[in-house]
Amino acid sequence: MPHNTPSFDDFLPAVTAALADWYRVDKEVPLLLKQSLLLRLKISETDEPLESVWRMVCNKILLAAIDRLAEVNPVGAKILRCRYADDLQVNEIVPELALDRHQIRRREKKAVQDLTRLLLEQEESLRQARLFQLLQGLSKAPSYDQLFGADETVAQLATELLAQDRSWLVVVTGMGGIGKTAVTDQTIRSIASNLYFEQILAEYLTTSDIQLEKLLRLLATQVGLPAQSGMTDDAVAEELSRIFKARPWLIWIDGFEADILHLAEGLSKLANPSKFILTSRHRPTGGPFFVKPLTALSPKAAADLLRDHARRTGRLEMAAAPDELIDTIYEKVGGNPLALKLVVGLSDKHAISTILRDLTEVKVEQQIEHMYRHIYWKAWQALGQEAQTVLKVMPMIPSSGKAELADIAGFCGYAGLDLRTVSAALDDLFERSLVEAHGSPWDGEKWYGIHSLTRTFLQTEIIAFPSDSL
Amino acid sequence: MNHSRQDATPIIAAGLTYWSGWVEQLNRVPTPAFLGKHDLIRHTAKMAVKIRETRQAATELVLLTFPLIEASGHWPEWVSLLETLTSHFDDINQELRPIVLNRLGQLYRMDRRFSEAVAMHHDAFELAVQLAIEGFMQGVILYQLAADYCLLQRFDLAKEYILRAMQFVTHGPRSDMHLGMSSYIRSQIELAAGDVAEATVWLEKSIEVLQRINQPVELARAYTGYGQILMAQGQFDKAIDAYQKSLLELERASSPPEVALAKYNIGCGYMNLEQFEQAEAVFREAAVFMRQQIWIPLIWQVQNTHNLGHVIVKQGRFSEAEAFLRESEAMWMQMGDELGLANCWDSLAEALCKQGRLEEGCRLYRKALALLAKYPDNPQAQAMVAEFSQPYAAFNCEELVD
Repeated sequence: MPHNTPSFDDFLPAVTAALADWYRVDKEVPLLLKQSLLLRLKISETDEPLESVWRMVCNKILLAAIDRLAEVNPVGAKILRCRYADDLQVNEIVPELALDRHQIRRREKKAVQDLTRLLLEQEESLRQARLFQLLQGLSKAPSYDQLFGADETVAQLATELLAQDRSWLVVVTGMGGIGKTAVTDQTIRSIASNLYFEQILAEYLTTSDIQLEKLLRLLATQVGLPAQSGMTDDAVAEELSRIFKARPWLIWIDGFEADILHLAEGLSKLANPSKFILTSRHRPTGGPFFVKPLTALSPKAAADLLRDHARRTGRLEMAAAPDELIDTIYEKVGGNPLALKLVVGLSDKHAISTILRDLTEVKVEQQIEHMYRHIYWKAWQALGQEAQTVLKVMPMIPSSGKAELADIAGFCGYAGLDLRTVSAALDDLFERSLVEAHGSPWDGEKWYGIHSLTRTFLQTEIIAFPSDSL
Repeated sequence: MNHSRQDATPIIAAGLTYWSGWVEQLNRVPTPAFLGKHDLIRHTAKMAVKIRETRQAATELVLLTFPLIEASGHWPEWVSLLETLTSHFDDINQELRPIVLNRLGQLYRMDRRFSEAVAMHHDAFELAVQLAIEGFMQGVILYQLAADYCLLQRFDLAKEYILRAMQFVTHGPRSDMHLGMSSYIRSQIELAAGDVAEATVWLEKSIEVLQRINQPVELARAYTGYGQILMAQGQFDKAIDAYQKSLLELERASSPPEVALAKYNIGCGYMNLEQFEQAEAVFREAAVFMRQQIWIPLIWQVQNTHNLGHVIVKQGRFSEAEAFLRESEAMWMQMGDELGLANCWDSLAEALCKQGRLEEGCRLYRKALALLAKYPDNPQAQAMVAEFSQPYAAFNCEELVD
């Protein structure tokens, strides 16, 4: 399928040929029309429809478009209907239209152009609707504004995901906070408009150590399979296979922290034409995976990210920091986007020199977990009481959940915080990269969540929530 | 940084209170907002059942949310949560225990685990009697048992339990709701037992009550039931009206799978009226709608595709119909439904014969008749044999195939 709606210049010859071959079952419907959603949505799910079916559906679409054309160009629509649907020669319609042959030819040419424009408008609108529906599968709006230094990675992943002969299981690996989720999200959004995948499904894991059977049941739930508690594991796998083999799905499973080799065989059975993309902190130790490791940002990308984030969150001193200072932060923190953002968040309460002095105590490369713990504690201690209260309730939101301000305020009911206070605290936490905000305030939908590293910090250091697994 | 972690119980308790208020204001209608919050509510409930102090409130939240879970189609995810609650009954007030068992039985029934559903509902009833729980609640459990037995085609027991249930459910909290639903179940029992007149009386009663108390999903189901009765009586126009009303109610709530079914039913109405063009339009709408959903039962998809092919045959576009019928043929085979497959072969045979592909068509008629011969005691199969024999003879298939 073409990446975008075809251009007028490309589509016009296809429409012209389709009109000319209205009754020619021996001629193929032009490929551009066969690839259009206009036709594909009417063809139902038949894999290889007969050529006569394509022709009939194509004619039906053309007839409906001619009817619509009649509203703006009634004479042109009449000419097209007579010439093609009724299969009349120009001479035969001269008396009825009271136009001479040349006039009819000119008007016919114009009508075909108008018809092409109408069809393209319709195609574009169908594509937009389809794209919107497809992206609903991601269930979360992006939590990032812009990615830095990721263009090449996104392009490479996009190529692999769109390849129809390989890379059925793609894994994006890298340490926590390196941007696996953001890069994968960006990649999927970038290829969605291609409309190759018929469905996108995202599973944001709440437990990272997961067996195949449990994972398949999670996917089955997402797909909406009923009656699965009465089904054996094999039956669930079989039903998923039926679904994923029938049409190309793109299934994203986010949040693995251990080796995923044990999933390779089971997922391979479900793949082709569907594809799986997984994000994991651990590089698989084997298996048929296409592995894309994410490495630390380059000094340039890290500096761009740091300054951009500082500007967006009003840390103007940090935004204007000289290159040497930024280089020093990079030396201490490395090119880990989340860690860099957390450091920016600290810079309103601590002088940059103090932050840097603190960071000299930890060795970045060898002890990334220790560094995060250290930075999180600093961030926690920099928070006011209200912000701490709000942050403590955030594990009430599962990684797949969409909690709005009112919900979070509801959870804070135990501490007597009002809506305005919670809202201010969330803004503060967002600016410090301690909460993620999804969606846009303009369309009335904005919801909040936390990064898995933040969840781990809260769970292990601050507050003891029970697990939600039964 | 040595620091003892705080206890999350007050936060979880606040979450339970918050979600209970939030769910309450939905008045049992699964709005799109509910679909968006469903995960959060379940997450809170799952954590809360792990803590003894919050188990009672968790149970209350689960029971309050249940009608929304059931109507929105999200019930499979709640089975394990209700099962967990049953293993912590010591921490849950007595009067809620039979209700938990009753709801779990409903989930089993929806999961098509009918014998477990019956066992669970019997346990619920016995516990309700043992704890001297009010008669109203006993009645609610009894009508669930009636619904179980109806699905098991044990109409004698279904009728016995619904009669007992209806003595109780008219007095008590939400009595109108339960009267509306038990009347609906009663109508289904009467219909399944072949008493159309009695079924109609109870459906009308159910619709009257559910309309009054504004319960769109239940009302939509009652309209669908009414449509089925009218279809069986050959009143196809009126059946379409009933299905349209069902569709309106379902679109008002958020029950996308059932919207697809309502569209399919409307298509069947037009098909029976031999208004094939309208039927085709609605079946196509249903097909597109089903395709947009993440999950739709295979049986609805195959029936819709089959009927779409059938109405296209009836409009004389045989080669176009063939594509749909071949697709439904594959799905019937996949489902192992031989009566559906035979019916599909009949439509496909007609499409082939009328294209002049007599030999291919006749072979299919013969295959269909051979398949139906496996069901000598099935009235539906025998009716199909009588129906298919006519074109088989008319196309002179006996000679052609030999």
